[in-house]
Amino acid sequence: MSELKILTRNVSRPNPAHIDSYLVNEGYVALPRALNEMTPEEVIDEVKIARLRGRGGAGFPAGMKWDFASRDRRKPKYIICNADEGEPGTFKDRVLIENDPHAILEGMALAGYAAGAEKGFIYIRGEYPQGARILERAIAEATSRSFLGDNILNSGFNFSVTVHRGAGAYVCGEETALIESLEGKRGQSRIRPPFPVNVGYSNLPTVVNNVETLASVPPIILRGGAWYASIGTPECPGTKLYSVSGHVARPGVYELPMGVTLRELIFDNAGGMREGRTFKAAFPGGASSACLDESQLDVKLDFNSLAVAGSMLGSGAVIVLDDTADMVKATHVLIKFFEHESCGKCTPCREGLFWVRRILDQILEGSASEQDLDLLLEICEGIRSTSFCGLGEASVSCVESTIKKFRGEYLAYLRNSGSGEAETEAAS
Amino acid sequence: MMVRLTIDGRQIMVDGHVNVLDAASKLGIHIPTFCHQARLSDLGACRMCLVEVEGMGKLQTACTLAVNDGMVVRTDTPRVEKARRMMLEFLLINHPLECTVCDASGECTLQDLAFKHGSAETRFKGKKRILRDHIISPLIDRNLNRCIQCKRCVRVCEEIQGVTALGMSYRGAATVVGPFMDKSLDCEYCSHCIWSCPVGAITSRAMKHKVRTWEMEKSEAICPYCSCGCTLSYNYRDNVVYRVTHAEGRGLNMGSLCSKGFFGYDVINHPDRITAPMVRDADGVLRRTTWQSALEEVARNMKRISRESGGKAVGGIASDRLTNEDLYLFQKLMRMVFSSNNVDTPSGLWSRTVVPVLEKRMGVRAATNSLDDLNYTDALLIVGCDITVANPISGLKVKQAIRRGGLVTEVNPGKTALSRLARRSLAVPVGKELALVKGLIKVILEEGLYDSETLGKYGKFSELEFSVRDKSLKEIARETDCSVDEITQTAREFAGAKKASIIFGETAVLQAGGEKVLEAVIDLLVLTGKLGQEGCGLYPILSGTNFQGALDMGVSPNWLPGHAAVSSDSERKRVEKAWNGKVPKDGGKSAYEMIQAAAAGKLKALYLAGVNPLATFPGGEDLEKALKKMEFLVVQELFLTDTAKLADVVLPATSLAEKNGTLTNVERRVQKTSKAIDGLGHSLPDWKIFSDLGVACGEEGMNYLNSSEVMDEIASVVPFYSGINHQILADNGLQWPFSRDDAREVYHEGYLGTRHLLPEGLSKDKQFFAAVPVWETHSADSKYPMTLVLGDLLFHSGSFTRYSESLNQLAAQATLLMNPQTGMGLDVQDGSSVRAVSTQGEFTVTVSYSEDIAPGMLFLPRHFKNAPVSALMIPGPDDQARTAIVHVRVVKA
Ligand SMILES: Cc1cc2nc3c(=O)[nH]c(=O)nc-3n(C[C@H](O)[C@H](O)[C@H](O)COP(=O)(O)O)c2cc1C
Ligand code: SF4
Ligand code: SF4
Ligand code: SF4
Ligand code: SF4
Ligand code: FES
Repeated sequence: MSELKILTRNVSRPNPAHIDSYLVNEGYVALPRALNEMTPEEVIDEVKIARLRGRGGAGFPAGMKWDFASRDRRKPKYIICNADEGEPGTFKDRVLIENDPHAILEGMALAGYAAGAEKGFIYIRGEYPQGARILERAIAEATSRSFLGDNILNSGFNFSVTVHRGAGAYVCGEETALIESLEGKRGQSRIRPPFPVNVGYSNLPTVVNNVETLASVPPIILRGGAWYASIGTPECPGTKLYSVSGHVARPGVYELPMGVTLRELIFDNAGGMREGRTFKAAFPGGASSACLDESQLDVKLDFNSLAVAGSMLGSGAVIVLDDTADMVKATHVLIKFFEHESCGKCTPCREGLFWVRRILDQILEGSASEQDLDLLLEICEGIRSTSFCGLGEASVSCVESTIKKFRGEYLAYLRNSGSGEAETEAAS
Repeated sequence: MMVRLTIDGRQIMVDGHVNVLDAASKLGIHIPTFCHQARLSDLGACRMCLVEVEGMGKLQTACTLAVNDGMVVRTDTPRVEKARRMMLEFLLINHPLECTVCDASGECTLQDLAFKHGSAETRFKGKKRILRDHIISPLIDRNLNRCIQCKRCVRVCEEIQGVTALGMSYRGAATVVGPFMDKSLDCEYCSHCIWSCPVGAITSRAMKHKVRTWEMEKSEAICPYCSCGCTLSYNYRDNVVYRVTHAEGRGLNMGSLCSKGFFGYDVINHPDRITAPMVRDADGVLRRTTWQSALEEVARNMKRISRESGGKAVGGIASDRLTNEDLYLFQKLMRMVFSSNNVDTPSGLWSRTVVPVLEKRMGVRAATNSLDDLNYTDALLIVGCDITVANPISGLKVKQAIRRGGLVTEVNPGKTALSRLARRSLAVPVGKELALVKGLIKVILEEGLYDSETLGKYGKFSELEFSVRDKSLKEIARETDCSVDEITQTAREFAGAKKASIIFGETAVLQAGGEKVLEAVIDLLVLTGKLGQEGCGLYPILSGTNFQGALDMGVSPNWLPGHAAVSSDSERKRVEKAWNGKVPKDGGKSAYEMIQAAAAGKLKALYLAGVNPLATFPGGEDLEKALKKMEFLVVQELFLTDTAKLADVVLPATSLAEKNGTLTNVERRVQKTSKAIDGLGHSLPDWKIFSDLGVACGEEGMNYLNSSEVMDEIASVVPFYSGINHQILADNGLQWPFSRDDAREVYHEGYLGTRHLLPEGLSKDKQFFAAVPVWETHSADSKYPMTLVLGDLLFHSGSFTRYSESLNQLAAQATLLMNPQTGMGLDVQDGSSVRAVSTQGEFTVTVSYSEDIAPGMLFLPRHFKNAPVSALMIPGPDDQARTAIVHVRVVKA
């Protein structure tokens, strides 16, 4: 399958972030059309027909989310663009932010019109200072041309956008922690329900959407939901930005119709494995996802197929490992990330990840026993099934899946206990 | 809406708003929890309360899960039990498990739940995480490694106390709880965090490593430190009170306490307590003696002087910290045995200023409403009162109202702990409160915001209109240092609110002309119709613990028990009949007048019970001279105070923890307080001393077996206490008026007595306005241009808590608070010494710059020896002595 450039249509233009570059390619055509020719309900309907699913990880239908928010009578309402892009291995939102910021802004304005919100925030991760500057400039450009601000294009609709930079916590990508952080509080997830669509920013109705989700909206309004729904798979229509990293020849962001297989992504698009190396495993949805092994190369990379395969699409961050990879060490790296990023609110994630990392330390040090592997799985099960938020729940997928699929590598470390590090080769 | 659900196979109907945890507890099913507390917002963090719910894949936290009709819950499955065990195991991997030395041991939720649900062995290998810790406060101990991150302390500090002194920093397993930037704790020391902590991570340093929790017995009592009347629990062993704990859900405070109630108990077993009577011997030295000889000495001298020079030559002043039984017997002793109406309490001045106005205008003699109403007030005006200090727990209720959206406006000469939370905090100069209140009246009249029923009754408000005509809102705003907008908005909010009340306090009233503020405040209430219903009323707030009881008991030169006038023949007769004794006819002297008479040699014997005039009365050296001049001075006390050192006889009294009795709080609630430990040494409860003394004087009518008997007599003499006895007060007390007939009525939502006065509104003869013509209560003297507010600190109660080492850790010295702007104007630096000079006297004190006090105003706490406020306060008859406000000159020392 080859690339289909809808989201990345403007990326290779000269000076792509400038409003004029955006305008020449049907930029800000969808917004006036919606404002002049469509009711908010019709905009929502179009997105529902498109069956656009959220690209932030959970795949929740965007049209439904907007519908919920629009039905809540309380005002004011808010649109939040989630540009926290914290999932290790994910860098696709950055491509849009830096190369097509106006598509995001137009998508936000359309969401605002549909849901009845007049205020938008872009919560961008602190590590993207350049992106924040680009967005701010784009907001100024759009405002000066009346695509944002009060009485947009004389339609009577007001919508303004503020950029807020995060302070470097992964959990702040989780929508309720993001809202807490935006409100100036400690970044920790809230109890759900109530959901942000009803009780969000300042306890008011709030739509939180991922950058990619929002950037997908203008083309949908422009060409129609039915057109969009015809791309990709029936349950997961449209194109997806896959961030491919790791041991492939050409890492990068690839826009492909949903449902492309792992094999197609790696070998047809990302240039295959590095010279002389073979595929060993891939985390298809970033650090939070369970890994796939060689036998699963033909799994389709969409929400449903990956769920069936015991993993998840998440943000579409495909981390590929070749035969040189030590799966135990790789897991250790990932767990260290989650241990570091655990917000500390709930017991299982805070204490459990500390413990999991300790056991992994001990395995690598050669001071663990085989019983510890069972204990590890038991702890992981405990963390996954009882954590407060998605971070804790998903944090142990890497441990569970690598033990399941590469148990031999763990056993090699355990067998060599006391005699230092094991050889990777011995395991494979 | 009620819903039906099934928990562990048993069905229950519950209100649709409750969570699964509450529903289960209704069935007697206990679900273990750490982070949940009913009074706090939901958190769902500890994951200890997980349950299985049919149709929901994941285990759910019972504390955050709302019930649903038809819901099927299981709390007893292997899956649930496994999850619980896992949570405990998680919590314990990094826990120090030092129960052997931990002060929470014995009442630690982690210890208890680990015992019940945990496993005896740990599967965790290797080193535990150790967090670096340090001492954050002299009284509150933090132990980071015992913390289970439940955030209860953080939430209670923010949501109940409104302080937000604690927060969480860092994340994951490195998360620590502590003050901002982990500096030292700067807070109200309310102790809520200690109470809330389910483990030993936040504990009281005051009892650190002193005693094991299970060794102590507990006994409920009423807090001795202010007129809120909070219920607390003394924890004692071997006749020593080792700590106070919160009586969960009990009392009008529902367990909450302030710094004084929680930490101030070390006064009780203080090593300096007097434990035996002392009589001055021939060499002029106070020597320990027996009760018998001491009482004989007092009886002989008091009786002799009364006989020789008449009852007018003897007098007595008793503290408003004493119980009703103590106070009642005190005045009975003075009146009947020593033939003198010279009885007073330090709060007499307040009562004589406030009560006549309340009586004249509304026909009431106390707060019209219940403190609980404050929780639900929609608009509240606070005039001349720092409610968070005068009545900290009433202050909490105001904070709850604010959280609920209540609009609170403060009118004070500076900022208070409420200012940050309240709708607005108007820094109005002392003397201009009247103008502010009149400004509100003006707006209400001009905008037609008054109550239509009141208009119906009054026809028109011409007098009132006339009284506010001669100043424009602009002028009023300028004089009160407010904006027109602030005045207008306050007036609109107050008039427009369904439930609106007014609190006023000492700073407004105990200044020259202060009763005019009160008159205007009542005009405002009447005009807006905010009277006689739940949530609408007037709260005169003085902090003195039993000031209301002292008034009710007749510790007053001109009021007998039950507020009956001494001058009324029939009332006197009624009391005489009950006592089977005589009450002198002529009204007596106030405390001030007694001191004057002493100075003039006319008052020869003085009986002081629990008061230390040298610390708290106006007069400075003059006062000391007058006391030294006494022919016979009796001081009944806990400590050998400066005043006691002058006495001829010193009688050792017990503290409130060592006696039974009743106290009447600021909302007319009569509450029973119970003895926790036996009187130290030979000390006796005050009522018992008065009783024994009466008997020593040969008066059998003063013979009582116990304080309950005294209350029975009070109930027969004070009409509005007529159904009261110690038994009926067992739970939550009751609010007077209460009569014998009411006693048969069942508890109304756990309350007994009268929650709101004036249900029928004002009687016909009270339907008028004071229409105060002037705009200021008084103006400053050009020679003494600065206005000094004498007030209390949150951490102390009168001069009594000087004896609390713990509270002294929080504040032990007075500094003169001064706005930096004022300081600059006077060329006085922060931290420098100044002389504060009033017409009465002067002393030297250190200046502390503070933005909390308005420019031109000064504030000085009146608890400490280093700033003897007695020297500055101007003694005078009631209409001149205004002990809260003194005009001074400040000069560089
Ligand atoms: C731990 C965690 C981190 C997350 N990080 C991100 C993120 O960086 N960006 C993002 O768009 N969504 C992230 N999400 C998902 C959001 O919570 C939310 O579902 C999403 O922003 C909704 O937008 P969508 O419906 O457009 O996908 C994260 C979720 C979790 C649990
Ligand atoms: S699972 Fe718990 S500790 Fe982990 S990030 Fe979420 S709320 Fe925080
Ligand atoms: S906090 Fe509880 S479990 Fe921990 S040491 Fe103290 S008593 Fe023991
Ligand atoms: S003592 Fe009170 S004010 Fe101080 S930190 Fe604890 S809860 Fe907060
Ligand atoms: S100090 Fe106590 S109350 Fe506060 S978070 Fe820790 S365990 Fe909870
Ligand atoms: S008690 Fe329910 S999560 Fe803590």
